[in-house]
Amino acid sequence: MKNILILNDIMADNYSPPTFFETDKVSPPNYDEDLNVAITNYLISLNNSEINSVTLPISLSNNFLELSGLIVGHHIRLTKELMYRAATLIFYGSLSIDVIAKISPLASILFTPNVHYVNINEFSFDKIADFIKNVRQQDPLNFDKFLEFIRIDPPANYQSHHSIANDWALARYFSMFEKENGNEMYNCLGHKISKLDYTKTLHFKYVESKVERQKFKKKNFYTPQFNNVSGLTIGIIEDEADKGWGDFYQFLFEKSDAKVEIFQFYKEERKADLINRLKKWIDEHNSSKSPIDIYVVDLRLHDEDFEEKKSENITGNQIIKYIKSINKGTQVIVSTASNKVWNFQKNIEVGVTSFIVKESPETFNTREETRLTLLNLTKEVDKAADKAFLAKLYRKIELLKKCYDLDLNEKDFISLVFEKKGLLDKIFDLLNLDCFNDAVLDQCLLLGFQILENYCDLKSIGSFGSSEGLSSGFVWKKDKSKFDVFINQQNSKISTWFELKTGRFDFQEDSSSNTPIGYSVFPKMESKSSFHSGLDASFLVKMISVLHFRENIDKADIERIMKLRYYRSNVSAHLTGRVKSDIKITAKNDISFLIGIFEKIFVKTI
Amino acid sequence: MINSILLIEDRPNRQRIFTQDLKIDLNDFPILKNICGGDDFYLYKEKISSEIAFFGAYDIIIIHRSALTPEERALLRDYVDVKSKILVFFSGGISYTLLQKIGKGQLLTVSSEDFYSENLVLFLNNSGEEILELAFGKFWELNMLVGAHEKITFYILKYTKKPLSVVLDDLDLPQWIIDKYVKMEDGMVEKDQLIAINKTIHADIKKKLG
Repeated sequence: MKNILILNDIMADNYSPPTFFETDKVSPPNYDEDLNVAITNYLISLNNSEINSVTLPISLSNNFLELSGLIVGHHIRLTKELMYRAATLIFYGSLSIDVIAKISPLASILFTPNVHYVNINEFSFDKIADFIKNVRQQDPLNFDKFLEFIRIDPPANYQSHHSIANDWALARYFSMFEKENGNEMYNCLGHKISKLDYTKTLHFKYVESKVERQKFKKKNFYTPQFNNVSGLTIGIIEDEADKGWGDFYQFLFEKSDAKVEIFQFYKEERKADLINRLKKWIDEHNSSKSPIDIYVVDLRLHDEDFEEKKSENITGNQIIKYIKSINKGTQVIVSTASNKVWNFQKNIEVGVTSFIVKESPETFNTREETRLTLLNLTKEVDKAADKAFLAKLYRKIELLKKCYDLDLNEKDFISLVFEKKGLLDKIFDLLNLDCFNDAVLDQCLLLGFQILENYCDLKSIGSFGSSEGLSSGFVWKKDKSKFDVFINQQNSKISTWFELKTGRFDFQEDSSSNTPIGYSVFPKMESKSSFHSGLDASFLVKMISVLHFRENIDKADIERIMKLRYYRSNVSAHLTGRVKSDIKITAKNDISFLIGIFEKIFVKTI
Repeated sequence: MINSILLIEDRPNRQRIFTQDLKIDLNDFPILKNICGGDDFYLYKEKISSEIAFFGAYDIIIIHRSALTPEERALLRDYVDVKSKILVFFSGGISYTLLQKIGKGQLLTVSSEDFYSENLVLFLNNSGEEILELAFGKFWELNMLVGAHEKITFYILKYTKKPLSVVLDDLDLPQWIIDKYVKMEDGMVEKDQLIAINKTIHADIKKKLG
């Protein structure tokens, strides 16, 4: 067992200690190295030997107030990788212990278990050696008592606090993951975290030691798994991406089969240049074949953001606004160490609904609380993924608004549907507000059918009505030719190209089998006596006539519209009780389907 | 004698907030050239790579560490080493104060919070003559006193009687400490005399700490 004696600068020049000690010296950090990193590396280098005691000065250098020896002592106790962290520590110096205690709170380590202070004025190193030979080490060391005695304040600078929270959260979350040592990305993430400067600081080690005293049960391990991100592209805009956050998201999202794009930050880039480069990156992805569906955005992306008073000027907020200005449906998850409510308010104003607040070391979360934070991360990502279809929907609606192919004489219809704040915009705005709310979905379905009804009634599309006592329906084909779909005969029969099929939808509550649920098309006009009355039936006849015979929409799609129409008439417009209460329509499937039909109808070339 | 000090900061708002708290305007100190953000910041930063001799006009160069690339930091380090200058790196990510010799020069590493503090005011008010004032503020004398006390303590451990001139050479104490505490005629110095000096210093250290 070794007894290490760390020499300070004064001793190293002038004094030969007893051979009982193995002497050593902690090299000062080089100009670009952190003191904590230098100390940690030095201490880890001693890990190969069995160490019984470490005798060390209060300060390693001539500048006593650096108290670097006390810092080394704290690192010995708090560095979990050290085999000898419970070793007897003996500090030596020339001052009396009461004087040292007055100089710095770091001196509190002198009053912790298995730590001793020797005043060199009173005791020689021979006597220290004798003392060590006789000292009875408390085994195991009472770490709880040690942690009670000491106090390590975080670096007080407000910006470093942001970095602290970022590094802390990353290390903490990773410690909660189920171990996947065979996974290269998992190992890479672990390696990055082990290299973070903050994880070398006394504050990190102190807080980590405190939380490691928390009971840790296997059930606390949790690696987020996302349900709906498969096939989606997720963009990461995070200035700490290089420090491990990029690997963190990549590891999690790619495990769930999402594609990850990470924006590259450059140190010392001017804020204006950074914003321009970010916008360009967003534009490039937006115009690519697989645009980013979900952005994960940190708020403070540039150093100047830490001094920014106006929330809207913070880089992250500017970027979120830009993303939303391009496509209101693109999902943004704000991931931040900030807990400033006004920032979140700004985000909500531009349509952000998902937030991840990174855990901070100040909060001393329990393992269960950290687990809940990770569960919240999962929930927020899943929520954003569930709404990711809105981006595609928005693109379709914008395409419809720009590229509709209609007779320009149909001004009222064009204004009603395609212009700003028209029905298409209304549908999108409602869905963007809350695409999971039943009342919102009912309203969207009504608006969708309003578009369809109005379209079928356009003069340039066809005509359905009575003339000289005879009912008839025709549509204008795309080549401008007139196509008679049905003509009523005077004998109460009807010559028609199709007939409605009746039956019962599986979601119908009643047992009636007279509901129009589909249609059959004949090879040629046939004379039929079947007759369906009522508003819905006349709409269905018009709709089938237009969509099948003019627009060439698939029969299966038209029958799906018939199904939605039944729902619309018996739930969205009037709650007739004819539809089972547990049946719901969804924005992702049903409203998107209707918009897709509009795309087929209104856009000439897709 | 310090003729000119250069401060290069890339975060004007941080400086403004800190100096407001200190109730000072850094531009009021004639000895200090305060380059704070804007184009000037980039101009000075660029000089590190393109024309390092530009910094010859300054005895002390203080700069926000994170604003520099590792290459720029290395260039400045090498420059102060050769030109006997003092380089100060401050940063929010630094959580300690460390003063090191770098060749012929010195490097002080300090946290932003400790840099923008009363220490800076004291340092500038005294024309930047004592870098320890920037490092330890009003405790700079205490730092020296404790350092002297430690030196004498370890010196005594294996001490044999020597002439005063040799003792002073060995100890290499600051002149003000010699003037204040070593009140003896030239001649051989007894161990007890050194112990007595150390006791006086210890008593003064206690007094300073209150």
